[in-house]
Amino acid sequence: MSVGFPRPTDDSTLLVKEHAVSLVFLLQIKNSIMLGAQYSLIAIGFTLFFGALNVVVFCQGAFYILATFIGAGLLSLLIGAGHLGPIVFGCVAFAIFFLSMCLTGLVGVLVERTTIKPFRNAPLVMPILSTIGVGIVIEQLLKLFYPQGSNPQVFPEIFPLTGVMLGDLFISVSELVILAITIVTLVAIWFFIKKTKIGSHVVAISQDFEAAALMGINVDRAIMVTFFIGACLAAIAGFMNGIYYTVFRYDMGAMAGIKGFSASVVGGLGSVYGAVLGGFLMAFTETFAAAYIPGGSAIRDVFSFGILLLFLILRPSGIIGEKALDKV
Amino acid sequence: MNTHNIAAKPLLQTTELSMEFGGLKALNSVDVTVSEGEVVGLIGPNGAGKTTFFNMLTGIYAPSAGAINMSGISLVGLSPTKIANLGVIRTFQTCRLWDDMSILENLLMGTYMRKKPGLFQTLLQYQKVKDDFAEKADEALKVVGEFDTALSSDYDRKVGELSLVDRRRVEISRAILARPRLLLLDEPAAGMDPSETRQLMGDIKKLQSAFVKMGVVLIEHDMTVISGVADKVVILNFGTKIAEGSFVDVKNNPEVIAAYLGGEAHA
Amino acid sequence: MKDKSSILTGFIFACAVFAAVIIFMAIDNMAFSLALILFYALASILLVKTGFWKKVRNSISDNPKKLCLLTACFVLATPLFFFNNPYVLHILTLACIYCVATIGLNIQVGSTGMVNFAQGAFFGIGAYVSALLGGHFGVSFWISLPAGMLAAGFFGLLMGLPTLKTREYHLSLVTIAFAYISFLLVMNFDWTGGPDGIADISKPVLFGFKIGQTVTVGGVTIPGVAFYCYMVLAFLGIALLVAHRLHNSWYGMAWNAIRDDEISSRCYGLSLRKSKLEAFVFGSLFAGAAGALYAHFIGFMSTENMSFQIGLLMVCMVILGGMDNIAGVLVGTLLLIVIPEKLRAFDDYRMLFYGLVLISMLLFRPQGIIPSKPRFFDLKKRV
Repeated sequence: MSVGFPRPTDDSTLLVKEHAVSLVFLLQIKNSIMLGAQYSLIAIGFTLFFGALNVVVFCQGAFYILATFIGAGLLSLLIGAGHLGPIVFGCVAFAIFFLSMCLTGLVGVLVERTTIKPFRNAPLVMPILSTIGVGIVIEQLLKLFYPQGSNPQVFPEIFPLTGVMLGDLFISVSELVILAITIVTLVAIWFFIKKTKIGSHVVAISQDFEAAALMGINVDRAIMVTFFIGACLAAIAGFMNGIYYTVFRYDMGAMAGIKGFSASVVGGLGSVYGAVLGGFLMAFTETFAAAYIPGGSAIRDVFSFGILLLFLILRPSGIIGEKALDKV
Repeated sequence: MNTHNIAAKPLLQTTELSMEFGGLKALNSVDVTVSEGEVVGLIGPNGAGKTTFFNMLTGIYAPSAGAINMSGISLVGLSPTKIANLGVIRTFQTCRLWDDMSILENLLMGTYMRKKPGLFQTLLQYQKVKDDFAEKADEALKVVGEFDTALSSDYDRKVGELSLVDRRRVEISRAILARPRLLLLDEPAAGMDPSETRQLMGDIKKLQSAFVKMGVVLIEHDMTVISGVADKVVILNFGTKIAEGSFVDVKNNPEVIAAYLGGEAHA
Repeated sequence: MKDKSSILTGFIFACAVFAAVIIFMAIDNMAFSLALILFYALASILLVKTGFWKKVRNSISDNPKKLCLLTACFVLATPLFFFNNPYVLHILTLACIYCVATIGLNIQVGSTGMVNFAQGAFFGIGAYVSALLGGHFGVSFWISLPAGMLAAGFFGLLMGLPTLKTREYHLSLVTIAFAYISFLLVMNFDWTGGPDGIADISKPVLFGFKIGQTVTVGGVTIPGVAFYCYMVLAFLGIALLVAHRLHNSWYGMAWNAIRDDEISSRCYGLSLRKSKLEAFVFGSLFAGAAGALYAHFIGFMSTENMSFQIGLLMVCMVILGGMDNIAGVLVGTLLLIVIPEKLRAFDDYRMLFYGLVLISMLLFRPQGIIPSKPRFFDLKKRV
C-alpha cells in the first residue's frame, strides 16, 4: 500500500533548465506554504484534542480524507447538474464545502462519544489504539463503498486556471484561494479561543480538567465543540489538498494524519502557535530537501520524519512547550 | 525512642537545600541531618514542601541549590535509580504500587537490587531463576505476613484490587525488602483507623530494632505517630525549616503553634 | 488448601480444541467456514459463561507439564492431516511465522506497555538481510537467519534510543516514524531491489536436504511445505521457550513494573533505559527471525511485507489475544491470519475486519481473549 501526498514535482524540475535558480527557490517556497498550511491545520486539531482530553486522536487523518471524499462527491454532482451561472455555482460550491465540513465535524463528535469517551480513565494506550481502529474503518468504508473508491479520485476543477504573476512566479487562483482560506481559518481559530465563551471553556479544560468541571463548565459540551472544530480543521486541510493537488486516494489520510501529529509534536503538543510553526517547519524541510538533495524527492518523508526524530531526541517538548515535571 | 545517640554516625545531611518551581520557592535553604538508627519526623502544614523534600532526596527533582550528602556521596544530580541503589528507599503519599501486578510480584520487585540470575541463567539454567524466586518469595511473604496473614496467603491478588490500608502495608513491606539504609515514609498512617495506626507504630519500632543502623524519615500528620516513634522532629512551613528538636520541645515552640493555627489545623 | 484440579478437564479441552482446529482447517467451503466460526464463537462464550473455562485454566496451571506435552503432540500431528492439502499447510506455516513476530511484539506492547508500530519494519529488516546475504553472497540460511536477527536487534536498539526520552504518544510516534523511514529507504535503495523486491530466495538446506522439496516415501507424497512447516514449528517452539522464560524472570517483572509505574520503578532501582532497550532488542530479535523465516518460505520479499500496516496488524493480534499473555498472543495471531484466509472471498473486507476487531476488543474486552495472569512461582498456596 503506497502512501504519501501526490505532488506535482514536474513543474519545478522542468523549469530548472530554463530559469534562474532563484525562481526554483521561489517555487519551493510557494510549495512549502501550500503544504505547510495543510499540516498546520491538521496539527491544530491534534493540539486542541490533546489539550482538551490529553489524548492523541490518530484518526485525524481519516477526517481529512473523509471530508475530501464528501466534498468531491457533492461537487461532481453539482457539476453534473448542468450549467449554472458563475455566481450561483460559487455560492453552491461554498455551501457544499461548508456542509461537508460540518458533516466531518459531526463525525468527529460521534467518534469522540463512541471510541474516546469510554477510555477517559483508562491507560493512555487505549485511545491511541481505538482511534487508529476508527481511522482504519473510515478509510476502508471509503474504499469499499464509495464508487470506485479504491482508485485514485479526481477533485473537480472549480477555480479558473488563470492567475497572477508575482515577478517571475505564477500564482494560480486556487493557490490564492488556499492562502486566503488558511489565513481566514487561523484568524477564526484565534478568535474562537480568545474571544468566545466556549473557546475560553476549551482553554479552561485544557489547563485543568477537574477544576474546570468544578467551576461549573459543561465539560462534555466543551469537548464536543473541540472535536467538532478539530475535525472541521482536518476537513479544510482535506479540501486544500483536493484543490491544490487535484488527485486523492482513500489511503492518503493516514500519512496526512501522521504528518500533522508530527507537526504538532515538533511545535509543542498543546500549543496552537506551535502547531502552526511545526507544520510550516516540516513542510519547508520536506519540500526543500526533496528539491535540493539528489534523489531526495522519492524519500521526502524521510526528511520530515528525521526532523521529528531530531526534536524528540533533543527537545521532546517541541518548539513552544514547557518541560512538564512528573507529578508525584 | 530515646535510643538517640549523639555519637551515631550521620547518614544523610542536606545543606541549604532549595527548590524553585518557576519563581515559587517550594523549599528554602533546608538543613536536615539524619543519623544511623534515628527516626526523624517531618511535619508541617499542607504545601510546606515535605513531599518535595522527599522528591529531591530520591532524585525525582533536581534541587535548585544546596547539597545532599549520603554518607560521603553527593546525591545531587544522580538519577532515582542510582539513589535507590545507594539505599535510599521511599514510599509514596498516594501509594505507588505496580497495580496490575500481584502482591507477591510487587514484593519481589522490592528485592530487585539484590543479586539475581542474569540473562544466561534465565535462558539456559532456568531452574536457578525458579530457586531464586522461591527463596526471595519466602522472605517476602514472611515480611508482609507480619502485617497481615491475609496478604501473605492471598499473594496472587492484584494490588490494584486491595484496600488502601493493605496497599500501604504492601508498599511498606516492599520498601523493607529493598533493605534500605535510609527509609523515607510519606504519610504511612493516612487513611488508617486508630488501631491500625497503633499497629503501624509498633511495626516502625520493630523495624528500628531489627535494622539498628537504618535511618528513617517520616512525614506524618498524625501527631500520635510522631510523638510515639520520632527521635527528632523537623518542622517545615512555606518551605522553610522553622524548628527542630524533640517532639516535646517543638510542641511548645510558639512559632510552630502559629504555623499550625495559621495554616491548616491538623495537630 | 486448594485441591489440585484434575488433569482430565484440561485433557478433554485440548482434545476438543484439536478436533475443532482440524475440522476448521479441513473445510473448504466458505459458507461452512463461516457457520463454523459462529459456532465456535458461541461455544467459547458458553464455555466461559458455564464456568468450564475456569476449570480448564486451573487444570492447565496445575498440570502444566503434562498438558504442554499433549499440546505439543497435537501441534506436531496437525500437519500430518494435510499432506494432501498444501494450501492449509501454507496458511499454518505463515501463521506460525507471524506468531514468532507477535510474541516478540508482546514484550513491548503487552509487558512493557510501549505500543510499537514498527514491528513490521523489523520483520522486514530480518527478511531483507537474510535474503540478501543468501542471494548475493551465497550464505547459508543457518547463518543468514541469525544475521537477520542481529540486524533487526541492532535497529531495535537504534530505535530504542530516541524512545527513552518519550512515553506513550511520543513513543508510538517514534515507532511510526521509524516504520515509514525504513519502508521508504528500502523502497528507494537499489541494492534492495527497490519496489520490485527480491525474488528467488533460496530454501534452507539441512544436511544436504533442501527443506521445501517434495518427497515420496513408500507411496505417500509429502509436500515440501510440510517440511518447512515443521522447521517453523521448531523455531516457534524455541521462541516460545525463550519468551516464557523471559516473561517469568526478572526481565518480565521489570517490564511489567515499568508499564505500571515508571517513577516507582526507578525508586526501586530499575533502570528504565536498560529495561526498555532490552525490551526493544529482544522484541526485534524475534521479529528478525520471523522475517527471515518468511522470506525463505515465500521465496519473495518486497516492501509491501514490511509496511506500517503490517506493524499495525501485529499490534491488533497482540490486543486481540491478550496483552502480556503468550498463549493469548498465539491465539490472537492464529485467528487473525487463519480466519481471513478461510474467508478469501471477503478479502477486500480484510482491513475493515481488522479495524472492527480492534475497536470492539478495546471497547468490550480490553484484556483480550486470554487475559494475563500473575506469575505463580511454583509456590504452594499457603493457608
